[in-house]
Amino acid sequence: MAAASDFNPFQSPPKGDNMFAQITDNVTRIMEAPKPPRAWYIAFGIALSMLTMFLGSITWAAWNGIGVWGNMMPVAWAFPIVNFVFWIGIGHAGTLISAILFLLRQNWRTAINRFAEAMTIFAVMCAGIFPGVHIGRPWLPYYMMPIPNQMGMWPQYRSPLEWDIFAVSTYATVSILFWYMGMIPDFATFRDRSTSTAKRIAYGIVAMGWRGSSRQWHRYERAYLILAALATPLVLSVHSVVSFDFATAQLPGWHATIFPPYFVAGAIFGGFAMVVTLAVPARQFFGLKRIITIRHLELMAKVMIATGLMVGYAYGMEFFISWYGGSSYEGFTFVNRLFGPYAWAYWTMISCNVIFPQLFWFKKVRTNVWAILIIGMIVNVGMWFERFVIICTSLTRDFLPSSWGYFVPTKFDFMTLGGSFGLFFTLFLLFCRYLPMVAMSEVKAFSPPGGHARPHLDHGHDDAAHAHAQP
Amino acid sequence: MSLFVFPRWANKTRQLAGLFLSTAPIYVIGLVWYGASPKTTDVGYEPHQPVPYSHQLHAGQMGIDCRYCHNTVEKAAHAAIPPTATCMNCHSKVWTSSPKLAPVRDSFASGLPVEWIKVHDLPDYVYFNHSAHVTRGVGCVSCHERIDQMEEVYQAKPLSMGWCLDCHRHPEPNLRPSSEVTNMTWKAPNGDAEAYGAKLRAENHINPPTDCSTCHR
Amino acid sequence: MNKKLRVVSERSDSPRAQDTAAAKPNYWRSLAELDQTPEFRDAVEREFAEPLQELPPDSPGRRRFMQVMGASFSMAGLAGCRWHEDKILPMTRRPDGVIPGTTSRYATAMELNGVALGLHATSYDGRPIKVDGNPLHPESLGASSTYHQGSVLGVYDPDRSDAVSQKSGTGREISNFEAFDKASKDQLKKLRANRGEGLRVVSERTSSPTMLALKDRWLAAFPLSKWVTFESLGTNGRAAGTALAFGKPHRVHYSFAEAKVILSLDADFVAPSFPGGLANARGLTKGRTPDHEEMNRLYVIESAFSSTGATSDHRLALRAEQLKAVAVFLDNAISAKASALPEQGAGQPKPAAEFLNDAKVQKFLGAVAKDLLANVGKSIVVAGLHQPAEVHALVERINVLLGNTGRTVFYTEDSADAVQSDTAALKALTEEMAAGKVETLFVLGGNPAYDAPSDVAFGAALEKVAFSVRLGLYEDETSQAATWHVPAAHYLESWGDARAYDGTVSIVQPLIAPIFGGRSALELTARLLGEEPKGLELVRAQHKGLLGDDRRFRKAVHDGIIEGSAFDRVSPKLTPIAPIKLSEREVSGAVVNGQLEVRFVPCPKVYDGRYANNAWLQELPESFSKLSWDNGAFFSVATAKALGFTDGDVLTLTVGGKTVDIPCIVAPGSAEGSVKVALGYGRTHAGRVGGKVGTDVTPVGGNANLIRTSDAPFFTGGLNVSSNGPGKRLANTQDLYAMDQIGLDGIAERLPELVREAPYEKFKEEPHFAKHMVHQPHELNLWVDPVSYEGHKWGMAIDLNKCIGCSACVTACQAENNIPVVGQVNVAMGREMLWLRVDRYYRGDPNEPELRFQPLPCQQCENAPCEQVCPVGATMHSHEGLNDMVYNRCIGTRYCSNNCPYKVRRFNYFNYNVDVIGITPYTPTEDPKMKLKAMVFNPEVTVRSRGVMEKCTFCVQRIQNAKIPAKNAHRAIEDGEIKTACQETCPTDAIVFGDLNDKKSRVASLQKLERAYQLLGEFNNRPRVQYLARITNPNPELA
Repeated sequence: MAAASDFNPFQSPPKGDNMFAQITDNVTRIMEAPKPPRAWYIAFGIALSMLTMFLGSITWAAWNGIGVWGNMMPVAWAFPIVNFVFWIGIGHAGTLISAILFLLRQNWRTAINRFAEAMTIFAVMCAGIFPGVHIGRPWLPYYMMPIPNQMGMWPQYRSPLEWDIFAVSTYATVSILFWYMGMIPDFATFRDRSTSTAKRIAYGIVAMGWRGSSRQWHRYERAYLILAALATPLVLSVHSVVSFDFATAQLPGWHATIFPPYFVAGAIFGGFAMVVTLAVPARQFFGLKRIITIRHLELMAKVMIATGLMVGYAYGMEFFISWYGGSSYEGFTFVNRLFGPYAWAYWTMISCNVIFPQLFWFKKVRTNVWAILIIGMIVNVGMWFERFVIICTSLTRDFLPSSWGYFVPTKFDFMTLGGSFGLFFTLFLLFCRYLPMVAMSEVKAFSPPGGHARPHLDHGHDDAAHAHAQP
Repeated sequence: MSLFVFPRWANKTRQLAGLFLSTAPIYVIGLVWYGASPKTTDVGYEPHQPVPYSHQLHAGQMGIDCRYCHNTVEKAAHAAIPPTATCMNCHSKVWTSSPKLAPVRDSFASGLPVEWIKVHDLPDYVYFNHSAHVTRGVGCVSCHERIDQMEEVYQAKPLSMGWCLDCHRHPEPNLRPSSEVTNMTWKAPNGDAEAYGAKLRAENHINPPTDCSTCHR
Repeated sequence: MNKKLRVVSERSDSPRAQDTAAAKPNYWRSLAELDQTPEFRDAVEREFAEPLQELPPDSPGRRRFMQVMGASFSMAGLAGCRWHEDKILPMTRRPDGVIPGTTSRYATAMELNGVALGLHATSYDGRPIKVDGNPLHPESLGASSTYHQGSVLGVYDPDRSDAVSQKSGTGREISNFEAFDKASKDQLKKLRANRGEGLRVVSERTSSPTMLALKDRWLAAFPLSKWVTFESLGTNGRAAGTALAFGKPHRVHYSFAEAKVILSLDADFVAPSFPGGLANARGLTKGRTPDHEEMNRLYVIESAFSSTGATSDHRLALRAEQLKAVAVFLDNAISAKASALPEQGAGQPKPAAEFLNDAKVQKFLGAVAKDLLANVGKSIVVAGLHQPAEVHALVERINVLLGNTGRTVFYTEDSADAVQSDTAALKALTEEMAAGKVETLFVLGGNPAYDAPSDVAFGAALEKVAFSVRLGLYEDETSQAATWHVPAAHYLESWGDARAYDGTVSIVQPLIAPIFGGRSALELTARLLGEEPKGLELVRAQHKGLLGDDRRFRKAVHDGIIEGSAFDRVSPKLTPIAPIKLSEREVSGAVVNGQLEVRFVPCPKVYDGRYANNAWLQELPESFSKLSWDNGAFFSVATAKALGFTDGDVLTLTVGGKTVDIPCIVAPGSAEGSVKVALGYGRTHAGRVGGKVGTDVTPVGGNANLIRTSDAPFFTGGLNVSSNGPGKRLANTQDLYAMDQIGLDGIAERLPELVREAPYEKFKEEPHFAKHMVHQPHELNLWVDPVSYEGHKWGMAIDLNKCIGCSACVTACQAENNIPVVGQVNVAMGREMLWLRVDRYYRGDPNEPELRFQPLPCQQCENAPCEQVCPVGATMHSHEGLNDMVYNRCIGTRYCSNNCPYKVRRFNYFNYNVDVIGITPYTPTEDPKMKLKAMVFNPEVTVRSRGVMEKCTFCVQRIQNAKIPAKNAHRAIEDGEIKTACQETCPTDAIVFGDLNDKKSRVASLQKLERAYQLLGEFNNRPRVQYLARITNPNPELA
């Protein structure tokens, strides 16, 4: 479509004072539009090429041996595991927003929970790939599964890696269910508004015959509540278990009881950072300014500064314990973090995760979309470096000086890291284009139609919205 | 325009899907477990040997002791295939012109080996030692079955890790006096192999290890 | 393992490939396969081309590979899609006592620089796969060195020359033995006529009685010919020195075990390159066991750290050239006290050397002199072989005056058959050649074109010789210029004999027929003389007199030594030594750049370059810099600082206008102003390991011979050094000295707890100091012990007081356990695979550091951190306490390595065996010579593929192979029956392995010693390896 100077379905919602109709229009038009804006195409192109690079680098490593990465002795875990923990962390905000904030009746969540959930699922996908490809013999990961076999061998349940398998897969399953559950009413709306038969059937199937009847709404409510309750502990458990990979090890810098809360806080911190990183452009390009308002962003900024401070506290506490614990090896590890060969990584982490978020104390910053976006991105970088510092610098200098080493990443390390973003954004852009980016039904539940407030989830109005929407 | 509605038959798909999802994992596991196990893949391997040597005739009817040919079995890891010379001990006198024995005579003349095809073939990372088993009184028949009834030798047991472990964890049924190891028809006195094996195990202090390094180095 | 020694049937020397196949005796039926006969080639193609594609990538199918080469089994292609078809190729006639798939050991010997070491070679199905010291041999005592351990790889080196070649124009063309024999016969017929006019022979230094007899017959046949012996590392300072002191040249032998005070003047007398070095090491360390008896005291004055210096109680760093003044000083001091008889002459006048006035030096030398005089008859003074005659003369004089002769120091006359290396003669010959006076030249071994000093342009001169023949293992630098190149047979492929330094004769027995159809120097010379060219016959004939009948000969072959063949010990008369003049440099103190001293040392890995194509030795970390795949220029910290160099800078070393580029190594403990450089690098025609110009394999390291001159081959002044800035990342397996301050402080802080030590006095007062050094918290286990240790309980004790850091154990481990070589780049990335590493730590003031070694195998923790974190149970605990590693279960998460506090685990980041075998399961090579490399593998150990973790197993294959026969025979394993590879080769007996449940075992008693401690034991890993703390014996005066 041409330059779209006169008319752009993404930019100009239809006239009329019915809030519900506007919401429905804003969201569904994205899917209904014959073509997304040029920006979407550019972004999708970039994402796709990065994805190709990802697959390429992984295949290369699988074919030649993982020596193509910089991993060595003593740094046997490097980028792949750093990326794994990083993505798992990102994958926290979604379920947190959907489940915990839901249980806490934080109504503002409705504007962002949908694509926060989507982000979660895509992030977990990215994370899930790394444990599989980082192992030396990537064709044998099923040895970690408890499958009966003629060798009479079982996995070793004392190993935190084994716990990881179950923690992450459970989390992925529940998140997907939760996400899908939430989308059903909106799929129905899509179905009912879609003009082409193909779309109608496609959305019809995924809508699972949703009619918006009060019975369905009732069941839906229950199921949503139950899933939220199920998901809540998982938010805390997944990253706690991931942190056990390190906490249970003997290595100075890993062997710390503070890891589980520390990792969870970090995960939420990073997760929210990623949400704003995605929300800001999304609301710009897809004209959702009225749904994802500055208020929402400000609230997320507040969450970020809170969790940022928790992370900062954890950093400090690590040092205190290393001193208080009195182990010379622990002590050395932390001095080495500060001033050793990898000091640059440590200070990058500190400035990104502790110093910059302090700007959120100022309302001006909290309410400036672009400031939030930039700080969010900085925090993303910082959180990646946090994992790098924990994993790599601790490994480079452990107990025996004779086995010390210095880790240098290769170009394949960077290709794999960058590539994983490709996968993430490819999925996310597709989501923006074809799925309800905002939980319409939930948003409506908290938005005043023509002024006066409505009781929570009155299905009748849903139908009204439809009725209005029909030409 | 009309809304999309599921046709009536769609209701059936639910039950079907439920059925499928519940049975599929069991089926797949079963498929892998049995389908891919040596029980299925290896047992019955019976390659065609360059010389039509019949154990059924030599070990069975003539009753030649296994150790006449496989004479390193009590000393070494390998129960070595006999050198051509061993065959010629007899066949320089009997069946001297049999065409079946041509490869043997050629080998003896040329000094080049008869290329036998390996039947019982363990992975390279498995270190099995015949002497350790034979001297403890594990009979040939336990792993090789009734060789004396085989016209051409085939693999009769899975030789899988699980199969090895079964015996290492519970050797009694396969124990016998070391004098009887090559006896294909040996039966435990009063038929109770279990009890007799337990007695032998106690007498000879047989406690087979199940450490990884027992077989893998 | 079948420890019984057997004598190879004489038929083993039978004619090989080039002779008729029918003549092959049955014994060598399997070896005939190894010959480059068409059948073999064909077999190789058939057996290896396809099947390896069929192997799954994770199949350690390499072991099968060797069984093929062992000719017991063989692989064929897939019969069908279902079954992988293997073939069994039995021998047609199996000799008595030969059991397929078992090992047997044969005695043989290896000669290096004219000194032989008795060995036991292990043969598997007729293929040597390992060599170890011969316990009966007086200078081995069961020990061997990196050179010997590595030598077995050389047998299967695909770069060895496999055909006679002839110069044609600028290039070379393949020829054959027939052509060569004919050509040489004609040539020699001419020469017989003119009595050897213009005929010259250059040979390696050898002590072989047979060879020397042949030499005499040769010179008789060609009276006008000349025979030059040249050895790049041949020194004759000692011969000349003893001649100066006693009137004629003598050999010096020591009994270090008896000595109480030992002084080394730049002598690394425990090094394998020092005659009798291994026995010296055994003796020295025997005198350093503080638990029961008194300890000896070792003073070392040297120019750069050596194994001896690292072991010393007191060490003084001086330039090599300064030691003459030191010797003069000591002689002066000691002659004054020990009243010399008049006929022994007066002592030297006090030397006027400024550096001797330095308080530190004076104090040191004063204390040494006093200590020596206090231990008359119980002391030893040794001078480095590279030191000039005067130093040796004075040292022997001191030994005599101190009454050490016959007690700790012994002399034998340097008999005529110990030929000295004669660089001057080589120089003269080179000039003759250049002048075209030499028509015919035979070069028997050696590589003078590469390793002759820079002022002896042998290679260029060789071009001028009309008819030149080079006998060599490789078609190397020398062969390039020769008209004929003849492939030589490896010592494990040929009959021969050689003398130990003390004269004991060993018979060199072949383990395998020459794979590439080479000839030994014996055979070639005999053939040229028109004699019976059978090595065995020659050797037998040579020793008829001594051994007489066949039975005694067989015994000599079986034992590996001829009893009573050692030289007679003599007590020579000391003659007066005229006052020795000291040159300007020899008395000078500090020197500036341009006047630096450069010291050329034999490389502990590639010796004089002859092992440059040996990947095991190239990859072995050098003892002090831990540098592999390179040689470095060693600077003291101060000198490097003054010149502004740091580790890895590429330096240009210039001596007399000649230059070479070598990376800088900051090596604490080097003498200021003295630069140590190892010879043997920068080979241009070594092969695809050591370097080959014209291929993508660039020479390894820099060739120090380029700045060496024949008048000062081992050290000289006038070195100028300039830096070209940082070079490539050095492949060192442990941090070099220059690192960030935090790191240095961290090391300094924890080192006392890692390498625990105390002076002798403190140890006597507080024997448990090592145990109490670190607080051992109450042990609480997260998990219950998986096993209770009934039956065996394997453990190891490593005596830090004995380890001299020679690294023979590391190569032995590599040879025993099929450890892959990873190459320069991967070592630089920190991916070396060596299961056993010898850690090197500097202690104290970097300008006067002490050096500590700590061998580190897998500690086989009872409460192993690695076992708990493996998700698939690929590393599990055995009932004997071994930390089993199961390659075929490992999926390579590498978590075990992260959680190993010792970081002894190694990971196959690539399929490193590609480099060893030359093939991968998925890309088969068509080059059978590459496949040949696989023959060196130990069939008892799985060859690991890519993506799996591996580590020290306590040589579990040796344990199993001892347990099974013992159980079969219903007997218990006695202590010492199982030796790990590292233990077996250790010259100083520092490593002891055994059963801790056997209360009488050596290891149990050693672990009970007061000074035994667990490394990082405070973490409750309960390691099965215990270290015996190091005890030093300082002189109170110097403390």
